[in-house]
Amino acid sequence: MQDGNGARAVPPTASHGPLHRLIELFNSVWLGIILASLLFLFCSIGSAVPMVRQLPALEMTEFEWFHWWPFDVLVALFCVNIVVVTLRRIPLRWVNAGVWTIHTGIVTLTLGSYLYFGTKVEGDAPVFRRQVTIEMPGMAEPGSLVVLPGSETSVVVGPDEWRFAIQSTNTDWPILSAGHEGETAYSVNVAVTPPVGEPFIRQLLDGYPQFIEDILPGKGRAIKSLGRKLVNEDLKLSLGYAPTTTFHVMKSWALFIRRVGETEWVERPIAGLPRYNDRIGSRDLVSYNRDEPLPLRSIDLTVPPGPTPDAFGDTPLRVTSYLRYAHMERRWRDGGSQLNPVIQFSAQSGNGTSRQYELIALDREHNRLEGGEVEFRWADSLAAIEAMPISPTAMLHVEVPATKASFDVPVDGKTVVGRTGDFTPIEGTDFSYRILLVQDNLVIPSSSGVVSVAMVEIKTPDGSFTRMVADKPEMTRDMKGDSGDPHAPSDRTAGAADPRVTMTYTPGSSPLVFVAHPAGLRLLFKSEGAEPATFDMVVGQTVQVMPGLSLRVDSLLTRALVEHKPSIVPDAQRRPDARVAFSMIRLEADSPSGPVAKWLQFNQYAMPDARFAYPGRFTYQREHFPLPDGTVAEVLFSRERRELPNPIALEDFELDTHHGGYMGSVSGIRNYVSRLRFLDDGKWTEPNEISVNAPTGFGGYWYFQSTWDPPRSGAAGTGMNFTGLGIGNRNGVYVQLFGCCLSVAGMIFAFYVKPVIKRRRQERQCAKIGAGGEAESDDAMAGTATEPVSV
Amino acid sequence: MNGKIRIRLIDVMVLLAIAGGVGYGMVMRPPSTESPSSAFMSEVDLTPLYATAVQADGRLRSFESHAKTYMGYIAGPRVVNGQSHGYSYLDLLFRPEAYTDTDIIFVKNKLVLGRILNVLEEDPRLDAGRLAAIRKSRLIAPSLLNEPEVKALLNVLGRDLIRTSKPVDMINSALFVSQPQFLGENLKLVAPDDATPETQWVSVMHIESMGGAPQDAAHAGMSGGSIPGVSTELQGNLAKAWSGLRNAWRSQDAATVNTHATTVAQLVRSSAAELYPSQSRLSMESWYFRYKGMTWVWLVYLASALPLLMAVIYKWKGARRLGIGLFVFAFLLQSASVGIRWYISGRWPNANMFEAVTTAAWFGGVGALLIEWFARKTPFRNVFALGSAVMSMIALMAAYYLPVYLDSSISNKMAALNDIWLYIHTNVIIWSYAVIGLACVPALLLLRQRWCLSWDNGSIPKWRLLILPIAIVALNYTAYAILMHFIAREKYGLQGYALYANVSALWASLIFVSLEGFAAAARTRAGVRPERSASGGASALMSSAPTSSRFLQPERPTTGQVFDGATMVLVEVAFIMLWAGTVMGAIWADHSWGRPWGWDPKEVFALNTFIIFLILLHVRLKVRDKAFHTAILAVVGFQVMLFNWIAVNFVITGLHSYA
Repeated sequence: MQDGNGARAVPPTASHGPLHRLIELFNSVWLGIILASLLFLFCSIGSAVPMVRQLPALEMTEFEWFHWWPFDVLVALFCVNIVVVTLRRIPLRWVNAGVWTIHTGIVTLTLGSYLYFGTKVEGDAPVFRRQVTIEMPGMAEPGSLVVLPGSETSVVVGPDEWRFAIQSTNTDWPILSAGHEGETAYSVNVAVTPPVGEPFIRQLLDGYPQFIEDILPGKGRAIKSLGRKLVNEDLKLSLGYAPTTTFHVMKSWALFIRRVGETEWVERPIAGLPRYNDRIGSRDLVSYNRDEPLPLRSIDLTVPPGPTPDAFGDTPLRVTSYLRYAHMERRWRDGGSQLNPVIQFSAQSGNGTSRQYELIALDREHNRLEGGEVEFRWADSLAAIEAMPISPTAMLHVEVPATKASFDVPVDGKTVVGRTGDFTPIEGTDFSYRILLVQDNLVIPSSSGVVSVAMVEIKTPDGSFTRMVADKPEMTRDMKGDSGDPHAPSDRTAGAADPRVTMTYTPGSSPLVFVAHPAGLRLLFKSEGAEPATFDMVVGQTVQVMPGLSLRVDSLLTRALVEHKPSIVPDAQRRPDARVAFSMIRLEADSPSGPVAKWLQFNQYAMPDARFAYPGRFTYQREHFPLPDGTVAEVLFSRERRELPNPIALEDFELDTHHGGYMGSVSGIRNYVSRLRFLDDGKWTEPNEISVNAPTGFGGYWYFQSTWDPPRSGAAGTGMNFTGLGIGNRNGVYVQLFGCCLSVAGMIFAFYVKPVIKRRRQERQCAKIGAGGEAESDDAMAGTATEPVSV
Repeated sequence: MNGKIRIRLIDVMVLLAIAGGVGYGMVMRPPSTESPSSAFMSEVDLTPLYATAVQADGRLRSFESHAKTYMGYIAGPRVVNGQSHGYSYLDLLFRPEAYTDTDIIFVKNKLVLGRILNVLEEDPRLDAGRLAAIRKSRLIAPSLLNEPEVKALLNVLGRDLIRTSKPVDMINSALFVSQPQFLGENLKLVAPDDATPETQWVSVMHIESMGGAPQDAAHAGMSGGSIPGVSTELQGNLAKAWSGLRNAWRSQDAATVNTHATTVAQLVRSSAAELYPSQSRLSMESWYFRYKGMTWVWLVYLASALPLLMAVIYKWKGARRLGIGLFVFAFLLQSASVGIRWYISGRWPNANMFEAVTTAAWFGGVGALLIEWFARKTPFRNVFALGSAVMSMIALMAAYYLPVYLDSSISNKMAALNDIWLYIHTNVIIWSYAVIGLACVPALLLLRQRWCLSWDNGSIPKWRLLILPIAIVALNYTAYAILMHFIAREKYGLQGYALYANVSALWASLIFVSLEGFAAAARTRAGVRPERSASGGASALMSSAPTSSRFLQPERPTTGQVFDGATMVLVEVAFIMLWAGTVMGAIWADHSWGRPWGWDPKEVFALNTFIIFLILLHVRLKVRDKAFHTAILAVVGFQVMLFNWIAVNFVITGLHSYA
């Protein structure tokens, strides 16, 4: 048998220099097979066994693994091998055109890929749909507010402060005005709180500035109650584009720094930060309560100043810890100097559900559960517990100054009759009353703390009114002209209590009272229709208080201090798709009084300020660091940022749906369409439509539809207030494509054209020889690499 | 060499292993539940409802199709009491009380089911028989799941996001879906008058609860009022018919049920006529789902594979005629099933795993028939049909027996999948997968033939020949088990002895197989002359095809050469299609994701499969016994492809997990 590959061996007389020997080293099909097998192994490990590339020693993303030098070397050797073997073993003849084309194609593809991946920039950016421009006489420059439900800002004009908040948005607000029937517009409701006067809502319609209207809460359109469309004609709110000028690079890290008061972030890229494994040098830095030990691996990564000088100047910052998935946790720790008893307990109900609660004895706002069922107190001694006034029944104390009558009414299921019950006359007077409802421990957000109230309807000879009787007499109010329902908005007026009859309300204690004392914890149970009981509680023990209710004290601290530490989330509770969204670093900076270290939580984007925080989507979490000059810097942890060649504005965003529209599931969505304008030469271009699978290129970058803003329960409005774009370049993609096309054409030639050529040649030869039987292979056929003809 | 092939020990071993595996699967399959089929059930005729459309999941689907999807959420792949899905749906809707203590909720995860049953150990309702039935069918009654202890357990398990939260979510959603309120609200049968495709349809439950619309002013405000877009007349009639249906169903009056069902079907068709799907489409959809998506065609493929095997081995003309006839018949049936699916879903069926597998099998059939036509006068005939019959049979069996993994419900394509390049890409790729599968069949036949030759000529001790196939299977199995242990320890982790046993078996089999490999190489070097192989598949076909030249006679290839040539024909096709398909995928990815290649596991393993075939082609250039090495590498390539399709899809999450 003749080895087909050796047919065109070099003449034996040729000189064998070192270059020649090197070339001969690559002149081997077996070497190619070995290199291909190694590539197979390398690819398999990187892809199927990601733990390998995620090892603490490697910390590589898929992209990094496939651009690691061993891979590059393998591919380079493979290409050299292909080139040498092709040149030296496969004669450039018509029959071999296929192999030559395939090999040329593969080498072209590889070169294209080096160009492509070597210059690849890939990132993403949200583009907000609109922002509200706020203009008022006396403002130095107009204010702005990005349109995201919940976003708010305040504007100071002279001595006055105006507050603006985006209340809700609607993408399909039907316009009812004559001449525009059937049209819809993007509507934005802005809640305006003026320094004086009542708050109102201004509705802005995108594209229809003539239809701006104000709405007064509880009264409806301003034109109905005030006779004019706008409450305040001086305040001008308008909608305009909210251009995006930067994007963030995928899988990168950076710090963003500015002095407090500045508006522009300055970027400091972080190189070499791990991604997959926690780096933490000390257990004290985190709260960690799992059985397996926390592996300690420390880092001390210096973050040198970026290209633009920032507030820290030349001072390097140091990253001393990295957590892949953690959240900041507020925890109680014993060891404070002051008495501050805190209890954590869980209650298990009959149907198996269990909930955890926390109460603080000396904090009036947090010493009772919302519904008042459980209360936590402190007693200096056991004797003090015995003396504690514990009465489960609330009392309503009534006095009539005119007759000097005074009596107590127990407030319980029998006396709280509601709006359908009978009035009880107050003896000796023309008055009668009925108790409507009781609310204990209402938290008043403004200032007065906690208040317990009884709503009492009082009938007098000249009409009836509802009185809110509070446990603090100064808060008791009468509501006249009232429908009686405290929740119904109405134009009732609240005023001082009618002095002809005075009332005080004393709430009852909770049926369950935990009392901490220096020697331990006691639980007192006292409830209507049940035997009072006392339990001495031990932390960790479950006690059945009554059928269907068990309590367990999880922790009891008497001198509790609060501390904030990251809590590492156990693997099982991590959202698989969260990636680094919940990662954080510990950043250390030098200050005049020594180093300051703080935990920084990751932000997907370095948003300019808190107005851009959008729950569940965009975070804005930064920390403050003191600077040597006495000022304070803000630092935010996010990804590297690049300028866009052309700022982008979102004209509108549309959802194309299947049958039945969007019903909360992506299976109903056919396409997402963003219409974008680019700022080119100071002018906005005509809208470019991009949708899934239909990107658009502009100014050297390609823009892809990536994410969207779905309507969410709880969020005000229909969502779709921004679009998420993928942004990237694609140098060399046509070289890659050309290489691929070459190799496909080559394969077709080699597999299907070449045998035909060969067969014809065989037939011709047979005809020439004039004899039947098998055709002998001739020189022309031997020596073709894919044709190792054995005879 | 020719004609010497007969049923050998190895065939018996392989057949026994397959029979054992399939038999085990059959025995362990849950019984299709004993049906306490009442007279009512057999008399109820839901045919009119089968031709009504329900708006759900962004589609207008037939009632039976809708019921199948929803019952799938509840009972998984199981059939409740041997009832049709439509019947079960209405029974759950009208007589929910009959099901509170019936085992209808499917618990897919065995671990979760085990924990639930542990908690319920003391429950008096669970006697040994019922416990065994639950373990087997994995169906459990809602009343048992609503026990406080079980609720508490599910609460705890739901917090483990990696292992058990998904199964617990599935149980909770099954409980939720099985509520009559939910079933009723989602039975959106009525299109409003001026409906556009985006308009939401109205559920019959809504219409029933609103009652007849007020016909006169005196009653206005008493009943529920009118529903926008639904004429008062229709609303009234439908409410009447539906409550009639409900009452008749509750009193188990089949005749009245049938009357009302007909009325309801007529009424719902009367609105939005131009939007309403045709009656034939809906009936066909219902028919398709009542007959398991025609996956039973695997039996016809099985019937064709046997005579085709005989035709390949014994070269019997009669076997060829019968085999090819049956194969064509099976292929036509499968074409019909693909066509029906295309017709009822309104798009080419290649959007989920079920469709990918069955359509790939169909593509394999198309390819095999084409090549069979070209090779009809060569000794290679029948091999391609045989390969296709075996692969289609396996694919359809998988769809038939593993409905949990291959869900046949029709859904809309995800937005990202609406693209012409992607369309071509996925179809070319699954076609290449099918051809890789096909190539594996002659490769295995060649390996079997080599084994038999060694057995006959006694060149290798027989005990070694007996151990060899076992060692190869063990090597495959243990390597896979250990790989999965590392890839997805949470789910497929081996514990304790299992790990040690697998590792030892892996090493033992690896050592044995490599020793055999070295011995074989030594024998080849020592002068055992392998068969001459053609340089490629097309050359092999051509050199044995009749030629117009008077001087060149077609060669009579040996059986080994036939298998080798057939493998190469298929490998070459697969090679080009896999490469071209991957390139098309890159073109799509470039404009969909912004990068042609993202080193995603699915992409990398497509490249890996390609590398294996690339190695195959070049190893063929360099070794003497080309046929043998080609066969080995063709099987390896098939395994890498399967790993890409199954393990990467189901275990290693990637961007491609939807296809």
